Amino acid sequence: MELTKDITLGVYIPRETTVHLSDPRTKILLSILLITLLFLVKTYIAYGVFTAFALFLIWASQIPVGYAMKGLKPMIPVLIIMWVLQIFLQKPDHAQVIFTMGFLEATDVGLHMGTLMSIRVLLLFLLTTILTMATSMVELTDGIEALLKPFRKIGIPSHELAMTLVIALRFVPTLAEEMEKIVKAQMARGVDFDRGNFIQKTAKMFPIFLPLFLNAFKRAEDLIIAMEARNYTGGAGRTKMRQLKMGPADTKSFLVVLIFSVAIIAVIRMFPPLI
Amino acid sequence: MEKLIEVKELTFIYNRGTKKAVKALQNVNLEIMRGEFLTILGQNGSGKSTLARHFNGLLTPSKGEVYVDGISVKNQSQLREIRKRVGMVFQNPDNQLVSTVVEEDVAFGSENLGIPPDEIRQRVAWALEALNMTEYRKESPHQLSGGQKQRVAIAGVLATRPDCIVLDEPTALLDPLGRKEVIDAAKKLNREEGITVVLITHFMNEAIESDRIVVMDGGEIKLIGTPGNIFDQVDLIRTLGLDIPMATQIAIGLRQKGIKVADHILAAEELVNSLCQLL
Amino acid sequence: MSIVVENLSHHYKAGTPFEKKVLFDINLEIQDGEFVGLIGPTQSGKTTLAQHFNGLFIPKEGRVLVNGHNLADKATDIVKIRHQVGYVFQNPENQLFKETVGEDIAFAPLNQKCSKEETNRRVRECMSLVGLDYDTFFKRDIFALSGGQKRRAAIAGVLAGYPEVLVLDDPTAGLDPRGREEILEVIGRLHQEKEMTIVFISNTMEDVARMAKRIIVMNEGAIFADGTTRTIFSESERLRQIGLGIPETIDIMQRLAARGLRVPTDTLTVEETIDGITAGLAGKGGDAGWN
Repeated sequence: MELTKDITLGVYIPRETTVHLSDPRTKILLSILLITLLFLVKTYIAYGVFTAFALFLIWASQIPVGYAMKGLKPMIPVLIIMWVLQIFLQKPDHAQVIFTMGFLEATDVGLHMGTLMSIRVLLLFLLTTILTMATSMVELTDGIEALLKPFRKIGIPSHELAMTLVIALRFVPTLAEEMEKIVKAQMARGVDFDRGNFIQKTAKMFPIFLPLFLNAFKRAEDLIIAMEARNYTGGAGRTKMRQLKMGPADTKSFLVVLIFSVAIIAVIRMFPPLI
Repeated sequence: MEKLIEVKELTFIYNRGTKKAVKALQNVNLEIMRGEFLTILGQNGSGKSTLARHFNGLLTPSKGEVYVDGISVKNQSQLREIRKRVGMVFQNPDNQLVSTVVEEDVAFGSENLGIPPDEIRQRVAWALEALNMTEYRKESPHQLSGGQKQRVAIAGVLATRPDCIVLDEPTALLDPLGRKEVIDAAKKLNREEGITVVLITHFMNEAIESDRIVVMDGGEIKLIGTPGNIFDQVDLIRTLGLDIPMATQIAIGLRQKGIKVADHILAAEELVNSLCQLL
Repeated sequence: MSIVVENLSHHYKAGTPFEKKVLFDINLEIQDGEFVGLIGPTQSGKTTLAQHFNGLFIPKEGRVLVNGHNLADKATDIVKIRHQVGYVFQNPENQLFKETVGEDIAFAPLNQKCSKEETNRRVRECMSLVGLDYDTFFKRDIFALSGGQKRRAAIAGVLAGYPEVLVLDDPTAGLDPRGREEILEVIGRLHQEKEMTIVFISNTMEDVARMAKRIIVMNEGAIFADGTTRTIFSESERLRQIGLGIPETIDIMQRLAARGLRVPTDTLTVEETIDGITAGLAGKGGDAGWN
């Protein structure tokens, strides 16, 4: 068994596309813009346009579509729960009941809202996946640090936050591997993770999480000592080898997203929600 | 040769003043000369790592003194200066790499010293080349072997241009190939860049080519000398929990049978040469 | 208790852009009571192969039969197989999670639904097998153990499942010479006294030479060689080609033989080597080299 096989969030796929070559600050800001626009979308038509754009981005960054979609798999149970809740809990006055199950009433509004909400979450996830697949962790954290830098004046520790993020990301695959080893070791001692109800299965995680936490803490301890030995004393007085520079790729990215933003706002206005 | 690190009557107690106090070092005296390759050998618990961590001020003496280039490690305000001179590489290859990209990690120490970005780039390129890791500079540390990770760690220290690199059991968690990579790298840096190297290890065969060996046990220095002198004292070495190179063991066994093998045999080739001279 | 592997192949990260074939058509058989060394350069697939032996990987291409049971068969009780084939991971001390030594060692038997009496009996026995004194260590906090002690406790934890086969992945990794000697002694005892079948994965050729009777060499996911310890290590050139070292004793003897001395080139221990050299020198006529 391989635990980390299907985790796609955070996996960087190196290419030389315009998306890849854009400055991380550009990508982060544009992502925030796109996500904001996403929350303005309330109709199937608008979602359709948005989805088309998302697929365009996937194509533009040469990300294997199948692989990107695979990462959605673990989200499906959550989405289904949300969808079902919406169907049964949305009860505005003008709603019409479409069918009943015991004392639960499913409304048309609920069905509509549930579906739209699910699509929104899916698109959110997809956008984030595209961002992390086309931007290396180093770039992302550099971008975050650079964007937060102006806020240092009001006390936000931009460097330290970015450093924390970098280290956390650096250790994700290491700890994932460690977890896989621990799971296998406990399986080898007779723990059967496939059997048992939800509560039993949760209890079975203790022999995993405790050693994993201990492992993570030990690593943190070692790392602190190593960083101290390397003269790390926080953000003050530090320089950075990597310098961010904007370029032609950024101009293209801005333009494309700008055009799309205009288009989507137009669609939203032309096709107002029916419900 | 001049002294780089001076250890005077050093005593160190972990958890001092509590019920769990443990004396890890007892009255240690040692001088480490500039440019030498010194190996500190000892079994687990001998105090070798504890001693090594005084060399860059990670630990400060409970009693006695440790001077790095004349600066006392007790001087908290001077720790930066001390760590500029003495860099350290640790046992666990993973737990000292902070970045997701090799060249970023190699730059880390230099960034901390506020060195201008262009110069950092040069140093990083130079350090990676010295450790034969240039082709991996854009890789993620996660994908490297243990030996490669350690070389990245050494490159990171090298890029800060220290006078001395202390390697604290750098090979303990590596396979034989990785061990060789790391030790070869350390020897090369000592020979070609003149960097003082202090190697902490429990593997005898890594000490064979050092200038001097220090053997520790129970928090004390039990032996200091050249590899030839040290390895002859087979019985003492064994009681100190260390093993003897096979070639040495064989040489001793042959001598016991009356065969006149040369003294101070440390490696296979020496043994073979000595035996062939008897034909 | 035998393990039969037929045409086993394995793909890592199957179905993703990172898919990679890591085992190529493996065929082998491990008989009851054997002591097999499994060696190979890094990424040769030895750990992946070994993790098929106790069902941590279920074969998708090819077959693995443990005691006649096909691992891919739905009817096979995989959990039972995992008790019959014990697996000690590299740095096994990482799997310790109970507060005290006794509790952690009891984990496997309790998972097997052993009675309290049976569990206690097993814990006692296994602690003794690994050299951890019951009275001293039974109630000892896991955190209060040294590295070597933790490792022995972890091994005891696997032994408590009463496996018939024991796979050990680099059991001496990270230990100092004394620690290494202790663990090798424990393993030797398990093979002698308990007649356990042992699969010993290691990168330290001297350890393998000393303990294993048969060696399987892997390279790039396939079996490179399979034979007795002496035969395998004698073929030093082949081993060097794939980046493996040979035991120092053999290295010394081969160099002597190359210089014309008539010595056996397959000595595995210091004693054998000394005897071999002595005989070789004597054979050179008269008392060459003697006092």
